[in-house]
This record gives sequence, structure tokens and C-alpha cells, in this order.
Amino acid sequence: MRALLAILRKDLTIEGRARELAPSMAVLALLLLTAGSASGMVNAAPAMLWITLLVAASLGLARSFHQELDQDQLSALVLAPINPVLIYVGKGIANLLVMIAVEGVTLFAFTILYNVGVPREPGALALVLLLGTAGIVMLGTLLGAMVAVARTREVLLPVLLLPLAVPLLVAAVRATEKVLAGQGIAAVSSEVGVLASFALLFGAAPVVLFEFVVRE
Amino acid sequence: MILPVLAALLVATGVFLALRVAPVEAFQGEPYRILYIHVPSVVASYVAFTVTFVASVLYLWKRERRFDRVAYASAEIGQVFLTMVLLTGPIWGKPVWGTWWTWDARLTTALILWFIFAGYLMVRAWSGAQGTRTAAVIAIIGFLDIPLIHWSARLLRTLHPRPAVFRPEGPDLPSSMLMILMVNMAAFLLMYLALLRVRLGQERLRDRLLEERAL
Repeated sequence: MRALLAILRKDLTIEGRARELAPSMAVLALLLLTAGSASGMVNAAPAMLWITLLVAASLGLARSFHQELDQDQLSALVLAPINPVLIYVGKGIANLLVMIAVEGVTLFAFTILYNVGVPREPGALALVLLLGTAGIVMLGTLLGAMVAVARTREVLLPVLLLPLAVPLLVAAVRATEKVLAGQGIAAVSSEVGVLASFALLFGAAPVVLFEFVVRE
Repeated sequence: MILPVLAALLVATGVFLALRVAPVEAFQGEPYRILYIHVPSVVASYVAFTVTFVASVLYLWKRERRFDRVAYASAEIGQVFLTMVLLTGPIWGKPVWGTWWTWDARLTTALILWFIFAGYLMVRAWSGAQGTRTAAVIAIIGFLDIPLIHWSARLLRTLHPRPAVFRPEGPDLPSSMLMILMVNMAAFLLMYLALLRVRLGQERLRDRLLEERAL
């Protein structure tokens, strides 16, 4: 637990001082939303929102492990007498917090540019957003560790993330669509089921697989 | 040497049977004959990717190079067969359903699987020796993702109603057609095995070369 908190604090401190990930992700997200709104995607607002979040995440998460390689810090972390999964969990929570911050900005702009009001059940929207974001971050953090050493990581991460995230995308877009149209949580139960299963799968898979990704 | 020859002969026989011997289907007419290529390609590609999945698990578990070679070789061949599926599907779909593409669960799964393994092959091409474990992890999570892709695509169906001709359980085949389909199925699987042997031989050779150069 102490190791986990230390890793989390380290990652948040780095992000707080360097401000590398969150601002670039947020600006990219705003640009995508603007481009979509300007080119008439207002009718497909939920799809635009989730594609924006996925692309912004894939940009940021490609860098999240790369910064560890600078002075071979990743090897140092892996050598530390802690369970390597903690590295993943710590990194994942840090990424989740960064992503939620980015999402705050994104949702604000989304409301204005796509003329979206507060839905009748804000809790349902919050649940969909949280599950979807958690799924993206859990999968993206694992992939980020995997592509960190590749020359072409900035291209490779979206190429890997987007197809694997298709179930999440489909379910999140449909659920957001329904909730924004005023439907309640009961109407989106199967979509929430897909989102929860996705988060569960990619929360559990790294517990077994992460070690193989970082081990020398 | 006998395996590739046998596979080639059987594929040629299968194509001949499909084009000349199989009866015309009453409902769809001639275009249905693409079934004899399309379905065996699906089966071969899914067998190939299953082999990749199992070999990837074994590679991470046992850490033996030979499992990684099997995973790589099988994934490549699986991707070739899946490409054939995605090319023959629309060609068949256009005359019969009236559309090249529909977001049906099985079509969606096949397309997304193609993208996942395109990423897999890119990792293998760009990450060198370090990429083998990364690739194995992608093969594993990609395989585990398939049920979710299928499930989520079923949500789409309410948005995109299927053409009436499309029958999820497939056409009921009379035995004359079923026999020929089976011949083609066997031919494609044999072709898969033959190609797998060739690719494995190449990979073994490459490993030996790299080892000797390292000495």
C-alpha cells in the first residue's frame, strides 16, 4: 500500500511539475470537438464525444510510460522489491486522475459546442462516463507500457487501442445517446453491462499480464 | 513436401467442385458459390488465431522460443485468411443482401479482429526482439476481447435492421452442397497447415541465423 501511494505520488508530482500530459490532451480534445461541431457532427454528439476521449487518451497514454525510460527509471521500478502490478495500478490511478481532469474541460466544451443540456438522470451519465473512462485508462495504461520501448509508439498506441476499445465505444456511445435523450439507468442496462465487463476484463488482465510486459 | 502438394491439389479440387459440380442455389442463384471460399476461410482464420492465442499463453508461461514462432506464423496466416473473408464477404453481400456491408455482430467481429491482428503484426515488425512478449500479450487480450466485441455489436443491430435475406443460422444446406463445403473446409485447413510448416521453418532458420551471428 505504501509502495502504491509512493508511485502514485511520484506520477502526480511529475505531471504537476512538467504539465506534459493533461494540457496537450485537453487541447487536442477541444480541437477535435470544435472540428466535429464545425463540420456538422452535432447530430452525432455522443459518438463525437467518445471518439474525442479515446483519441485524446491514446495520445497521452503513449507518453505515460515513455517518460520512465529517460534515465532507465522503469528498470529501477521493476527491480524494486514490490509487486510489479503495483507499478501498473499506481500509473493507472494517476492516468485516471489526469483523464478525469481532461474530461472536465472536454465536457464543458461539449455542452456548449453541441448544445447539450443536463440530462434528466445526471447520475446515469456520470456512471457511463466513469465506467467508460476507467475502461479506456485501464486498457490504455497496459498498452502504454507495452509500446513504450517501440520506436513508433505514438502511432502504435492508437492502432492497438482503438480496435480493442470498440466494444467500449459502441456501448458508451449508445448509452450516452439514450441518457442525453432523457432515458434512465434502466434503459441502458445492457450497455452498462458491456462497459462493466470491459472494465473488469482489462482491470483483471494486467494483474496477470503486466509482469510479462515490463520484465527484462 | 507432400503436405503443400496435397493441400494445393485439394484446394483445386474444391474450387472445381464449387464452380462446376455444386448445384445452383434456388434462392440466391450463382453468387452463392462464394460460400465455398468464404466459409472455409472463416474457419481457417479462426483456427489460426486460436492457435496463436494458445501458443502465446504457452510462450509467456514456458518462455520457450518455439511457442513464439508458432504464434507469429499462425497469426500471419490467419490474417491472410481473414483478409479473404473480408474481401469475399462484401462481394457476396452485394448481390444477395443488396449491400456491401452491414454492422452485424459477425461482420463487426471479423473486421475488428482484422484490425487487432494488424496491430499485432505491426508490433512484431517494429519492436524487434523485445516485441515478442508484447505481441503475446496483444494476442491474449485481443482474443479475450472477442466476446465483448460480439456482445457490443449485438447492441448495434437495433440501429441497423438486417436485410430480410440475411439468416443468422445460415442457409440450410442440402447434402450435395454440404459435401462440397466439407471438401473445401478440409482443403483450406490443409493449406493452413502447409503454410504454417513453411513459415515455421523460415522462423526456425532465422532464429538459428541470429544465434550463430551472436556467437
